[in-house]
Amino acid sequence: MAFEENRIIKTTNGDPIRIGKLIGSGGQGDVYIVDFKGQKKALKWYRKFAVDKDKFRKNLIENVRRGRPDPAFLWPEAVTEEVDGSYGYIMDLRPEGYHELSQIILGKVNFPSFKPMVEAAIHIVNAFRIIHGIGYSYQDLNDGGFFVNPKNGDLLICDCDNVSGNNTDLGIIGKPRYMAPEIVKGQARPNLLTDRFSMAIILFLLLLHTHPLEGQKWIDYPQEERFTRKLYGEEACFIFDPTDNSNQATKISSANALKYWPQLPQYLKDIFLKSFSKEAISTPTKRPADVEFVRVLTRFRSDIVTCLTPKCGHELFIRGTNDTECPYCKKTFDVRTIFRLAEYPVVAAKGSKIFRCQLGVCNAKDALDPVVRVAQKTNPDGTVKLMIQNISGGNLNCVDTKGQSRVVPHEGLIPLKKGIKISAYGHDFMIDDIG
Amino acid sequence: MSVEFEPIARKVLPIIYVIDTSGSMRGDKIASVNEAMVETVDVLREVSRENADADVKIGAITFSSGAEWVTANGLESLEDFVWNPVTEGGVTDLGAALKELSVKLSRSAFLKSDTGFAVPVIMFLSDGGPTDNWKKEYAAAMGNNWFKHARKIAIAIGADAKEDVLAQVTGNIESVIRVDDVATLKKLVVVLTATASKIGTQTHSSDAGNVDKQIVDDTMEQMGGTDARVETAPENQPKPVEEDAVSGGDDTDEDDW
Ligand SMILES: Nc1ncnc2c1ncn2[C@@H]1O[C@H](COP(=O)(O)OP(=O)(O)O)[C@@H](O)[C@H]1O
Ligand SMILES: [Zn+2]
Repeated sequence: MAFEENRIIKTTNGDPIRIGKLIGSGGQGDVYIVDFKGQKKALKWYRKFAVDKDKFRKNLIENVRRGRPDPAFLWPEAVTEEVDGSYGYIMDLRPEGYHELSQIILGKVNFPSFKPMVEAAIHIVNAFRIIHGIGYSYQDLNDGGFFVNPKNGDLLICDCDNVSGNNTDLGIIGKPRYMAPEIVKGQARPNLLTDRFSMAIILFLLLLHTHPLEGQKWIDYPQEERFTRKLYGEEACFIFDPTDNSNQATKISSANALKYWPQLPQYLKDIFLKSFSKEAISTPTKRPADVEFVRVLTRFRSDIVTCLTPKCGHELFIRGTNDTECPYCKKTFDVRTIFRLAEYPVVAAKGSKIFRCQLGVCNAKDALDPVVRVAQKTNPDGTVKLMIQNISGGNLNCVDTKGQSRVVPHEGLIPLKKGIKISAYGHDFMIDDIG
Repeated sequence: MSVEFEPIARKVLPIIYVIDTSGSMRGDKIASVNEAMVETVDVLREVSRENADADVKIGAITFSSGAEWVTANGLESLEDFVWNPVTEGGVTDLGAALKELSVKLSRSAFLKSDTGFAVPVIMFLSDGGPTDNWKKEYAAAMGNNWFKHARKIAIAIGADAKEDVLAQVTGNIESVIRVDDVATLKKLVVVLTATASKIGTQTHSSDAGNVDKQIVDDTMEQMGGTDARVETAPENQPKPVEEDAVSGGDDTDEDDW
């Protein structure tokens, strides 16, 4: 059924909801703008139930009760009463500037640079790390469930109606092309480990605009149930599987991956090779943990720099501190200054940023708190230089090159100079020169 | 500078209309089919732009005395496709249309693409009963895997439409939707198209069942209540074609797809 504008319905608590315009329709339902408690919100109204309606409703009410695990989720805030045998739930509206991931994958919306793209990826894994950490699984990861702001990589996750305790069977199995192989084969129902597989697909699609399981076989097979069962299930095989080339990347199916994969740093290739290895495909417990993705992607973000060759200016990925050649102008990217973190060095170039999770182990909620960034400062005489800026929100304790302790307030600047030590969240890191 | 990617590769999803243009379609019926098709093309264009899972293309064939492709050069991309009104006149050679489908749904004819195809959706619209040897052509068409596995749905227009024939062609009486007035017909074509073209882009549930049935159910649900004259054909209609006619031929060979 469709609602008329201005119709009033009630939540389970009896709070009124005034229906506004229809925003869009999906597979299961319609989404309306509504007035709720003096605010504009979104109402998702189910047109039909392919699953157990009462069980689904109970789960939804439980999600409302437990509350939003992280601001990244467009979480159910209230469930409505039943009207004509159906119901819906209230969530925040998607703000301006956010686009469905499917539109990004289609190339209709582009990121201005790789950094926000990688930040969006980081936000995805961190959000899943958070819900997995509290015992939930999302169950239906697909390109329609993510809203991304391409300008800054901000992310919102919608369709949180399926989110439920790990291994709870609501009857949802997921969207074709995004389901884990064991679900496709009918051997499992959505759970934490199937979420991980789907998440790896989403990340690969986001970063490389290519589906990781759609290579030569994808071209050979028609898109029909018996074949998709093989492609995404029985015969699932990574397009870059080093042990099996039966489904290898082709120019037609995988043009973007063929272009960018060779440019990726090895640690990033490794996590995808692990996620889509034969072993991880057949044995779900072998899939990389969410936190491994957080580590790898935050490191990758640090390794995206802009080529300094005049007139080139392309972004490139550092693959080693002194041997990265710009794929466009072929000059070696000259790394001078680095942050020496406990696990790996980070190039100190314009736009570099250090997140809390890069300093050492921390919990998911704090993982993406920024610590410092490298910013360009313009001197009174018009010359420019790179400086480190404290963006941690509090004071940073530093030791300068002469051994003097200094306290740098939020937004305060620190010179980019070898020998300076910065302490944050109980971890130290040094500024160093290379070579 | 922005991050430059090639457009992602997509399978082509053919949506094919098989339209009865016999003399009995004269007047309101053919007019609403034409109006519906104009709107349908807009809907499909929108879907093909938004759909990250498939690249929707349109095909159309009319049948009266013989059959003729509207899209004579093969499946058309929606970006620059315009619906030119079709006209009626002649008898109801459904068999001729089936024969064309069977010939053209082939990698050597309409199904040429680097990325390959998704199972076609074929929609039949008819207001009468066949006048040629459609059974023979149907049996032949079922030897074509694309036709055989296509999601076949039929709209039976008015009381003279042969629902039993359409049930056999689609393989299922539940895939035949009867409609008795032209306003509903027009809306139905559009809603059915929108639903069928988004199939495969949606979340599945564990007991989803048959896809053709889902398309019909979803469509009926969206048409819902607005007009009681839309009905799926009642159960007491003749049974669909016998098992062996449907499952003829070995279909496990991927190469002949
Ligand atoms: N919270 C929201 N704010 C604004 N638009 C939304 C919101 N949630 C969903 N939408 C939009 O409404 C449409 C239908 O969404 P939905 O029913 O979730 O689709 P599906 O069932 O295909 O996942 C989509 O275009 C989606 O982008
Ligand atoms: Zn360069």
